[in-house]
Amino acid sequence: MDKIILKAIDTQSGWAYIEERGVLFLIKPPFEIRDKIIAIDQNLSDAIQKQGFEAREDIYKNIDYLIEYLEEIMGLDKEFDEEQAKETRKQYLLSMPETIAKEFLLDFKLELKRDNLDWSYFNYLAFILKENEAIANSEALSCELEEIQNIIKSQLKPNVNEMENLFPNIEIDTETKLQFDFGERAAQA
Amino acid sequence: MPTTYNIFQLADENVNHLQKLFTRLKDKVNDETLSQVTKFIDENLVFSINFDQNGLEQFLETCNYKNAYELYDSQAEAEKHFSKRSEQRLAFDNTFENGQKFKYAALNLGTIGVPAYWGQFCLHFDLKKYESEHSVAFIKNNSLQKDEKGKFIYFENDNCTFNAGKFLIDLATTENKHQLICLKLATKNLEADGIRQTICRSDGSDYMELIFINGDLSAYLKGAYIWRRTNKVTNKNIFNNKLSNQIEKQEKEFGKIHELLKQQGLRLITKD
Repeated sequence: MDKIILKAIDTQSGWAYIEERGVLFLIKPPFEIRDKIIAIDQNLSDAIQKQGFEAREDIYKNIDYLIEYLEEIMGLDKEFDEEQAKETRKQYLLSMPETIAKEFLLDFKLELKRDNLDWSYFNYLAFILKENEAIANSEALSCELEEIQNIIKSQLKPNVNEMENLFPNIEIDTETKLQFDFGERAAQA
Repeated sequence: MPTTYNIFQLADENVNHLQKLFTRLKDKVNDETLSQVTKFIDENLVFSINFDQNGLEQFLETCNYKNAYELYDSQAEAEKHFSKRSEQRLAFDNTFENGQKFKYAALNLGTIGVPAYWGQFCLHFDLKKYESEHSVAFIKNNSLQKDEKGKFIYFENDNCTFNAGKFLIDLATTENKHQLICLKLATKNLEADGIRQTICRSDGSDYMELIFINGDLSAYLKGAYIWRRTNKVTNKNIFNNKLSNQIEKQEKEFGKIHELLKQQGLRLITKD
């Protein structure tokens, strides 16, 4: 059975990285054979980390099913509702059971070691996770999340310092400033 | 010769043949090893079905597992589902009484099943309980297994004609399934991981198969798993703050699956 694994996709352009019989390819619309280019893992990793591709791990029975899907979603994304997608993500994070939440927190911690992070976004994620029932009910997971929040707080401090420079005569504690930072994020969401 | 065979009866009729092969195997294998392997199988054997997120969501709504003939309105849609194996699937199913009511599952000793072929989610079911209440047949391989040359192993060289003779000697019943499993393992690694992968290869499509008819599986649910690769990808998209219709669709479906599993009292666990 020649199954195809969709590894990453850019829904705007329809470009996709696929794995067929263990070989990685980049395919582009209109998805003719000549549009199939052999790729390497680094290309895939760059596409996800730097070029805004969505990471995927979807399995298709064959290339025809995959192309049918790619053509369909290129049309779909024209009607994308970002606010709705953010709300769905929030609900997903809240729905995570203990084991999935545990892995999420492990990945979260690793993610914090990357360069050039949007710390306020990560702060926003941590804030949602605090409401996750499975995490709240587990002492170990709550500790893990707290540790993550402390790392984020320490990284957000430079922004706090900038605020202090802007408002030298106003004393605001860090917690409040973090809440303020989150508040802005929440307002955007 | 009957026009169609009864698969459960055929499995019964293969008892003596399996017994002979197993006796020969026992002469070659250390008794203690064999007894440990049998104990390991006895303690861990379940049957499993892999699902994609849509399939799992649909299944969890009722816990009534349907095959393609039951799931789709037309034969054409079912055949589309069978994809490139359509001809063989139809030939196989039409060989047996109630063939179009057959459900297929993998035997499993605690793995994620066959995620790359059949879906990133895997449900484990209580085999002992199911087989004590319903008829089942065990096959040494996936009924549509191909060999390394791409030939369907239970079919003639034309890859279209089902070879019943070759198939029936690989069948077992509840009573002698351990013999069939030990015969499958005979030439393989007898360490726990080797045994698990021989029964059900998670990186391929080679697995021992279970055929059953009653799809009401609500009383037999035992465990729910998600392929770690899928879970990592979901997490990655969240950390990268990627949003799109497709990601939203997936997160929505996964969230629903979390809820439905919770209602079933099951915890979703990641597995490699």
